[in-house]
Amino acid sequence: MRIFLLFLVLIPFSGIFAQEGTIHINVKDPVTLEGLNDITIIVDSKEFVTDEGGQTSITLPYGTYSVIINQDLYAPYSEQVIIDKADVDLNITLDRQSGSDGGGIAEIQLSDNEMNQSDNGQGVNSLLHSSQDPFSSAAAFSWSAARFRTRGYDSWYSSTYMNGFSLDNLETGYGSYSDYGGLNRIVRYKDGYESIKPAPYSFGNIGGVTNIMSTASQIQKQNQISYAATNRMYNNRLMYTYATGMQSNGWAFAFSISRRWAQEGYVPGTDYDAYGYFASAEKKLNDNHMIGISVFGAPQYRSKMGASTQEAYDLAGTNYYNPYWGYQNGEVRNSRIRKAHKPYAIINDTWKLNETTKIHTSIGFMKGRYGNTRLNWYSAPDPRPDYYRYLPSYQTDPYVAGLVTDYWENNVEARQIDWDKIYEINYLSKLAGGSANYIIEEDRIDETKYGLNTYITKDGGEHLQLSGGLDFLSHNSLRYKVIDDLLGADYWLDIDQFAERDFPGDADILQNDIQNPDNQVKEGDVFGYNYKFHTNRAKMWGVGRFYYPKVDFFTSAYVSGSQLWRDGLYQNGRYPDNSLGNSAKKSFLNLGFKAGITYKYTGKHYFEVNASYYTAPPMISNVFLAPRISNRYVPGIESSTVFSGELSYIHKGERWNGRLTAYQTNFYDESDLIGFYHDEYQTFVYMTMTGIDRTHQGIEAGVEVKATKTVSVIAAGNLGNYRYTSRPTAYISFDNLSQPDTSETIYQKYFYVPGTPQTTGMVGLKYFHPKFWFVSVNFNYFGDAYVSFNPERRTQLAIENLGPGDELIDIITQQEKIDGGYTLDASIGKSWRVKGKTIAINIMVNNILDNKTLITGGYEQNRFDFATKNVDKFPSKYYYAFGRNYFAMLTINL
Amino acid sequence: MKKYMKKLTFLAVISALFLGSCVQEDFDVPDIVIPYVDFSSNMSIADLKATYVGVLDSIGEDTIIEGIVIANDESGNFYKTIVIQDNTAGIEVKIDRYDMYTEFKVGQRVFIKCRGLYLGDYGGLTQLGYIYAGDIGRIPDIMVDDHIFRDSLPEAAPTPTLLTIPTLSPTYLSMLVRIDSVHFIEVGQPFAESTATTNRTVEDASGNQLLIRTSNYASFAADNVPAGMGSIVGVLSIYNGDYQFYLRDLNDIVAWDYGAATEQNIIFETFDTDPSWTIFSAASNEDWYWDASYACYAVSGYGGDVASDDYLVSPAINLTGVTNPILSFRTWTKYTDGGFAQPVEVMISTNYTGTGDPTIATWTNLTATWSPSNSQSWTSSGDIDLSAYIGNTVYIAFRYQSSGTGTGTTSNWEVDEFKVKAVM
Repeated sequence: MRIFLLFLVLIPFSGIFAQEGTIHINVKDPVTLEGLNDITIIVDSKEFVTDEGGQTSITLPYGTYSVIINQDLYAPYSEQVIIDKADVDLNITLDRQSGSDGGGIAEIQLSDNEMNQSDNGQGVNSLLHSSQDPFSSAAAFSWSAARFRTRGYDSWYSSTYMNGFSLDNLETGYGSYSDYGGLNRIVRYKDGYESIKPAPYSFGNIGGVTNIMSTASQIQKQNQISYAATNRMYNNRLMYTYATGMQSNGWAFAFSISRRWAQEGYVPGTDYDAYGYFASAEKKLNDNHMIGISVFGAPQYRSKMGASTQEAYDLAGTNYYNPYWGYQNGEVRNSRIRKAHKPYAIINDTWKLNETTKIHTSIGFMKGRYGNTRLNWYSAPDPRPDYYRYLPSYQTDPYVAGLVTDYWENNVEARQIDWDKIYEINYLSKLAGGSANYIIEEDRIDETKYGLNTYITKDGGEHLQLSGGLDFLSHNSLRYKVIDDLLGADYWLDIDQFAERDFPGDADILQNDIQNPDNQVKEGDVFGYNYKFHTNRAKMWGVGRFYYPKVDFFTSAYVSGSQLWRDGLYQNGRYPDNSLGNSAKKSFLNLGFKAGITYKYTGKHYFEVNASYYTAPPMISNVFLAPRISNRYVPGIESSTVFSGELSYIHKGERWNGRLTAYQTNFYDESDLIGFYHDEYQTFVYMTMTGIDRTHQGIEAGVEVKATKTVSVIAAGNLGNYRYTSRPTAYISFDNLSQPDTSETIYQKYFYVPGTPQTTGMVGLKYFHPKFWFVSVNFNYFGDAYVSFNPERRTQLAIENLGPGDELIDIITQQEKIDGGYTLDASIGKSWRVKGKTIAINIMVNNILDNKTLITGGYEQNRFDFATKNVDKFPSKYYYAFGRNYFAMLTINL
Repeated sequence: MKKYMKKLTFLAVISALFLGSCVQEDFDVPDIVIPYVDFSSNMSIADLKATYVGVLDSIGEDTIIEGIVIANDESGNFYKTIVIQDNTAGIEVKIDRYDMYTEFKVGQRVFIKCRGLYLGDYGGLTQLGYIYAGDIGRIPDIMVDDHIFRDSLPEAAPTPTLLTIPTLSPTYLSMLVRIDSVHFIEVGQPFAESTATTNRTVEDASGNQLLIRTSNYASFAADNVPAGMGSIVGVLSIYNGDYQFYLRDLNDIVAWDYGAATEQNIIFETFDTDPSWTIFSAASNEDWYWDASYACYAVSGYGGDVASDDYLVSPAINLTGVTNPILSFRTWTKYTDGGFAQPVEVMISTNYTGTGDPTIATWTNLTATWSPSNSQSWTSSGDIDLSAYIGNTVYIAFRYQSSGTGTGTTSNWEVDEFKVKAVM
């Protein structure tokens, strides 16, 4: 708080000395090193055009300005420039388009991966602010296939804004890339700050912060259509973008629409149909005031792939076996469909109070739906084809096991969902007047979000830039289940079948909604659970950035207040007294500080130290013991604490650029809820782990060497050591109430943090021909990744009755490491100018060697056979990286 | 304007492109396949069962039987089992699969190709299944579709054969049977205890009894056995010579008059746990006690300080609104007390307060058959008519006396299976 007062005091004092300086800009092509004419440069929202020699000069008051270039054939360029003397030289060597961002290909790769895995988003930000930094571009483009997360950070440790409005979901902590998927042409302009570097529009986060700049005036004037063919998650992508740039009448418009679709993606049974739309208008009211609105969304429909056990993969003969689909009437039908659409409207206003002071205000609103379907069944055989009892390993009689093996290997109806059988069983039940035995249900999260982010930036003369603001967000989500398809039956009985089994004769406890008992639900009806999550957060922050010839430094702070609660819409039979209505409201007060210093030894050698300390409120999805059915909080839930530091050497030279960073981040008191079907108690169980501490330390390095004018060599690597450092307490709550709530200590101290390869390496070659074609080749290595582990196997209960030294103890508790692997990628591209129009072709082939044994992730099943302690009864499930795959794109700038 | 028109046209073309080539989202409901079997049976179930000679036997011939499903695993009272019958007999089919009822509804016609399956028995009940550890086991899931074939949609189940308890015979094993005019003995107790499969009893007007066996996993296990009288439908079974009757669910209790007067137990105490009856010692420090190892009340005056005079008093027994109340119990004795021809007496009171000293109440002796002196044999008291006490709340007391404290002057007595039944 004191820091804020300081800022408020500082702002009026940082006087208005309207001295002016001239910036001399020289723009060159990276290969020919010739000056580029007719390049549009945006400085301070004004456009300037280079002359024949690639030069232009602009006179402006002293201060810090962003210089932006968006030009066909070249990668977007954005740099902060300080005018602090009469003449400032800025030599810009643009990157050829296809070299740095693969023509937008990497963004496609990312959205694939994000959708591919369960629900855990991944390093969105590493992509969004991938820049000229060789390490960052390797992280985004070369390692995303193996689900590399920069520094091992979870998605919620980075932040994303669009036009100043936060796209982060307060309930998950991050904005999913798929919310704006397919808008590659729109989201390519961004103002990103890696790790804990200071941003002028937010306190930021340890995993970086990005503002996607997509007001209509910031989007390059264009009329572009592109088509891509690929064999990844989808087969076709069509994208059209039209933007006027700022017109002489003071209006700017931008428009983009895209569709991505496939009857079947790389993995069998995965159809895909996703759209993206974007429209933006901006009006320059006068020289000091701009106001605009952007509306966008990405309706998507896609079928998922499921992880399975190695036994199932081997029997099916492919590591891309997908248990989620089956034939219905001879057509492929997937049981797990994601249907999502979260349209946003963002109004933004930029008001220049005077030459040095600007106020940026964004007001945003989002209302959308997110849903995932799945099969559910009542008192009927498990319809999942890879259910462990259907596999040969479950059979004790070798003859029978042989029969099962033969059946599995040779019959698609054994390996896949037997829809026709499901319909037949429902029909038989209907004949007898019974309820559905099988249904498709959809777990829905209908979100509403609105908020305001306003901040002021102030140039305090040549050495100081200040900004600070207020960021308010209100988020709620209605969470419920709805019948998607009765699969031929007449109705579904809305009771908890596990409570029905464990409490025979009790007519109330099995009700999901006591006020509507024994409800016979039809398609479209809400059932099961029904509640609303509310989260509000107000955040005040400020940053001061100081610039001196030898050192730059910054300091930043924030304070936030947040509030969360649950509003139950069903009175649940297991918790009749604390499931309906509002829970108690929990409030959290949080604050954070960060600071850093860059020492400019020479113009080539830089040393940088940054550190950040902050606390963050728990996410609402982790604070309730059994969020679907009751208002009870996890005992002792508290804010988490993050302490992070990094030390870098940066080289910016004619011949080579590079960075070497050592980093360490300590996380304290994180919490995490997992829900799963408990095999021993035969009911759904919620397990909330609290007091999770971990340390992520490592070294990352990247270097790009210009071997010749046309050939560059790139190398990058990360050596990480990400470990848990505490024994969390797990609170366990049983959905059917058959057992009282209980807690256990999870013995996971010094376990590796799963979910990302901790060691990665990459070497690549790029060749650029002066005639605008290029080719690049990368070799990537991934290693030291671990399978997500089942906490229950790391409890005293799991190894109960085993004597000291029993070898089973190690087998039960030890972590499973994923084999390392490598891929070879290449891309080639060519651009032409034909009659003033540009045409570009880019082709990217990943995993050229067709390595189909590269596990990208996996998880131990959350079930453990406590009786026999046989870890092989429920083996791990794995995801595999795609084999050889391509992406070929044709772009025409009309 | 013209320029904008051109752009608009272009936009329209683009939009059309996007909306083309739809991806399938809606699926047809598959046509209902009515199962059809294109072969016929060649043996009756009775003939198949007749081939079983009492030892596990694999079926080597191309035997095909046909029958209608009369019971399945829907309620949980049959576990991994379906029961089929034809006109000649019924048979249990053991199958290693859950929730089979979803396919094998009651009334479903099935054909079973028996080659490769096994016939065996459990407690005398012939079963069709597979081999497991040298004994009859369940047909593995994977083999089911090669042996059992459904034909047509399920229809009404066969009419149960109407029998009486005395006319039950092995012919009807694993067939659907109906028995009229019976009532439950254990009214008010659940069909099954929560931890184990449980036997209950029905009785007809003549006192013939039949065991009703219910799994603790049955959906109706926790429901109480009903009062009243009516008919039961179910599957007849046998275990080591005793008939057992399996209800499929509570719909098998039919034409039931819940208000009908039937003979029921007002109290039936087997002393498996200590019921804490009133124990009163008029003399000596050797008293009635609950014997945990024999699960009964016991007493002996041997080694006491003085000769015994001890009372054991039942809880209150309400004989209001009943007819034909009958008391029964059984006794056991060892050693002979020379001082008493019958050291234990049984007596009844209508004015005992329920606690404290029974000697201040009025007691009337009842006549019972006792275990013969030093016989060490459990002996039934015989039916003791309590009709004289209808309309009263009564207490029953056992009074034990000894003539001394040593050999020849004391005897050991035990009381068990204390029951008062009446028509109510």
